[in-house]
Amino acid sequence: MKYRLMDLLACPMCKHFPLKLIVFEEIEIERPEKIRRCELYCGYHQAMIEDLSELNCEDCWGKEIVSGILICEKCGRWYPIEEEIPRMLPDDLRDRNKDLSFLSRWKSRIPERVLSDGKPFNLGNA
Amino acid sequence: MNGELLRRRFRVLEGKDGVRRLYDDLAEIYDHSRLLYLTRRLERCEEEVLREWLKKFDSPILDVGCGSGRYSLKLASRGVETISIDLSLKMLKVLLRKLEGHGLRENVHVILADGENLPFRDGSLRGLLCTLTFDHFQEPKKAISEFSRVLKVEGLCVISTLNKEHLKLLRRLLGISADKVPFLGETIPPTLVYETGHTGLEIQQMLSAYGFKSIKLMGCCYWGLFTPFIPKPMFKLLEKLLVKLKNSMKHAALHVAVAKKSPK
Repeated sequence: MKYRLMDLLACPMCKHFPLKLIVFEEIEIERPEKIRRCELYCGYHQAMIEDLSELNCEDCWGKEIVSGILICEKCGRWYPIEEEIPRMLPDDLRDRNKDLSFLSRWKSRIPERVLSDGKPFNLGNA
Repeated sequence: MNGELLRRRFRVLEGKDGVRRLYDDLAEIYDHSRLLYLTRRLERCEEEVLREWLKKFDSPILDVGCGSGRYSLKLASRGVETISIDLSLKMLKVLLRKLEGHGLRENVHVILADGENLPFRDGSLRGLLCTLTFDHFQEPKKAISEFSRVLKVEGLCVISTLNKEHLKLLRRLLGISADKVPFLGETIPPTLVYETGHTGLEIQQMLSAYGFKSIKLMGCCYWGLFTPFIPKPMFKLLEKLLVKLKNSMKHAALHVAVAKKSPK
């Protein structure tokens, strides 16, 4: 997943934007020649574009997020990023066991409130 | 033909999860399966009809139900930033492999997501393509309301649907229930999966109820159930001739609606 996708992503359930991103692993990739500029939100700096004086787009374009987590601060849901693919499914299509094993695997990098109260699954209600 | 006998030999996959399981099972063979012959012909005819429309898409565009990426690859190779979503993780992995192979990884975002619950902010996208996927939706109106929400004003929306009158005939012949379609593949058991059908007119009405202005309604695949018996070279010629028929939409197996998001 590319950082610039954060300019478009919202929670599939409550539609809140922007989401919070925590990156666990990223790799360097070849930069594309031409690219669309982000409109509202910079995922690389995790701030609204109007609040930033410098964007560092060139740095951002050369990175690919391999694993991480997306958190909706409004409804408390979280979404895993694995194998470069964000998994943004509604509650009824998620796999509880896979989600819990993701939380266990990365628990040292995930905020306590997600581990204990995150929706739809968390280690507190496991 | 004994419909009951045929039905007994099919595996039945219910609901949205069933659709996901089918495409997970088909992912590795989807592009080259000889048993997906009918799907392939539908795809080729649809691509012909959409060829000029694809050129009108601007970044970023959403490919809903991208599968193994027949349109995502075409758009990315034209430099259009494409967001490809699907419910089947295995299909997305096949798409990622193909993107790597074609050196197109930079222009495509791949997301596991559901067309009825889109993970995008309001008014964020300039175009949306939903081809041979719309009929799998349990709540098509919810999907169109989501399409309308995420598109910018003037954003282009293309939806294709299987003509439900043609599906009725197929179901009657095979003796299968009103909301299922059969799928065959070399490595899967014969499977029935949730796939309804609409008419292009119905799609247009739904689009207009959710803030779209219709631009064009097109039909293709005029040969319906006779497809397997028509030799390939005859294909394009027949399509060109049959499109001129009066009431040609009635005879088209696939309807394609093109619309634009209207200002509020």
